[in-house]
Amino acid sequence: MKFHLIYPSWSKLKEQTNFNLPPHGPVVMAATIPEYVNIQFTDENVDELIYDDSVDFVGISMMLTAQVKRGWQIADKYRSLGKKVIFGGISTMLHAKETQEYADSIFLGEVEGRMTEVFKDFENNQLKPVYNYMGKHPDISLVGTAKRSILNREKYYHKGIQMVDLFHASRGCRFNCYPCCVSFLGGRQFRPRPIERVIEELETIENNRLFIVDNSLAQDKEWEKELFREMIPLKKKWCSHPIENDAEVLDLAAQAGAWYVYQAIFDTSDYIRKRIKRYHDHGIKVEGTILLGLDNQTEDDIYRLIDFLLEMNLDLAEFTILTPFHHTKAYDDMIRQKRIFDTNYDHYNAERVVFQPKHMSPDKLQELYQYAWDTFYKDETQEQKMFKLILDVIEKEMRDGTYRPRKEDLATSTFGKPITR
Amino acid sequence: MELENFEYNFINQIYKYDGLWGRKSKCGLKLVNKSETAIVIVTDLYEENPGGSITEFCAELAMLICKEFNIDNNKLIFIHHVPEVNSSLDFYSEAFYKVCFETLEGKLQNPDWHPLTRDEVEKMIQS
Repeated sequence: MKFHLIYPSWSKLKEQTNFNLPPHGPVVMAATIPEYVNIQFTDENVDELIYDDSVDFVGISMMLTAQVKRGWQIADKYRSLGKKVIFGGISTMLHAKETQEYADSIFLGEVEGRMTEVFKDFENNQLKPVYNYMGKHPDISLVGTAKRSILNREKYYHKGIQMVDLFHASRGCRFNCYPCCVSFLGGRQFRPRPIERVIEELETIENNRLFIVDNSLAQDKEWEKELFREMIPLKKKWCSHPIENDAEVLDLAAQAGAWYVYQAIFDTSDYIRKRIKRYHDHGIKVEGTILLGLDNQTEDDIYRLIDFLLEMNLDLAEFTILTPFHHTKAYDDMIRQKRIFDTNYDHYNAERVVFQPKHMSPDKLQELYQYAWDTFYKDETQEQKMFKLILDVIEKEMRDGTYRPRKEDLATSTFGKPITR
Repeated sequence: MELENFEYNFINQIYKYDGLWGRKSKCGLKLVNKSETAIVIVTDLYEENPGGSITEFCAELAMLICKEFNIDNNKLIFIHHVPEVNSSLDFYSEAFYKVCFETLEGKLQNPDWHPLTRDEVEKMIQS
């Protein structure tokens, strides 16, 4: 049986240097599909989507709200060709009712141990309209090694340099942050994968550079320490979301190959200042993730925040505009307060103001967003800063003998396309 | 006691229900039943709620409560309470909303939130 698994494209942040990472959801899902199924995978961000009349069944995996409308379009086309379409992934869960209108079936929840049923139902022409496993999490030890063999590997290189591979060591999150929907999706109980399973997966990944996509590693100090201890011999280099603010943990993280972290910077406090310094003291670089448009931010606060970032000697910064994603407290508050004026999900890629900010006009916030990118990268461009980050990881790899030169045959292409100068 | 037609005058409890997509959910529930009105106050429980938010299940929740506690939809005054959590951030301060619904085919639908002050809610209960 031929199953066409599709990851729809979306509009990336215009200000950010263009890059495409191999997607994580589809490879995790693919690992749970019965062996007899032939998976044909298209990541529309790097591959042209060809509607293939020879496929039996179509799956659309959506992570972001900004992918949803494109996912629906693809489903419409495939269904017009007489193919059955199932949707899954984070944004299917966030937009389940709307997505049902475009689907033969939707899958809600985590997939481990559940795909055999779906494919059996499909073959018996008994596909259910909804496979509802919301809140019914499978045994975390069932989460196996993602099936990365479905990826078209050469499409994830930029000038011969391989992009990081994504993997996860846990699910769920004990935090319930204002703009985040993870507690709705994965629950508030932190569910670490057995460490031996994580290590087993890491050993299979043919890439020395990784992105640990867990929401936050700072969930359970003892687990975190054990994970890092076990990772040390692998000599991988990785970026991640925040690591516990603890000297022993940070020391182990650095030994385990911590390259840089994405650290949310929400104010100009000494706490943030010390947090960044502590990472730097352990040789870990910091990419600040800065959300603009929160209700506690005035125009002056945003100007001060950007000045603060420049003082902090941050290695990289990513600015986004608060976006009221469904199933977040931000969405709940704004829907009750009638502040959402744009419900076109194509605009929900966090670079457009879709709501009425509390202390300024939408236009002003949009202007400050642009100001933030321009000001932060005024003296040193994003490409220059990224190049420094790459040099840092190369130095680390040179020291422990894991450095692999770039692929010369891909040196003149970027994400599968020739570089035009 | 036969509960089917029992009229509740006052309730103050944690209410457990099957929320959006059947997820086990919880909210605070206060009911003050008077001759002309039945005031229902539902409170977000944040971390104590294992399921989804009240906001995205508001009309369905109002119907569940009306059915379970024999409340006439026409008497219903439905109030959504977003409690204070100890945070210095503005977006965690307390808020009250009166939620109005349309009744379509016998079902409450299309919730519409209108802000209220705590004083206004207290007066409503006391009047």
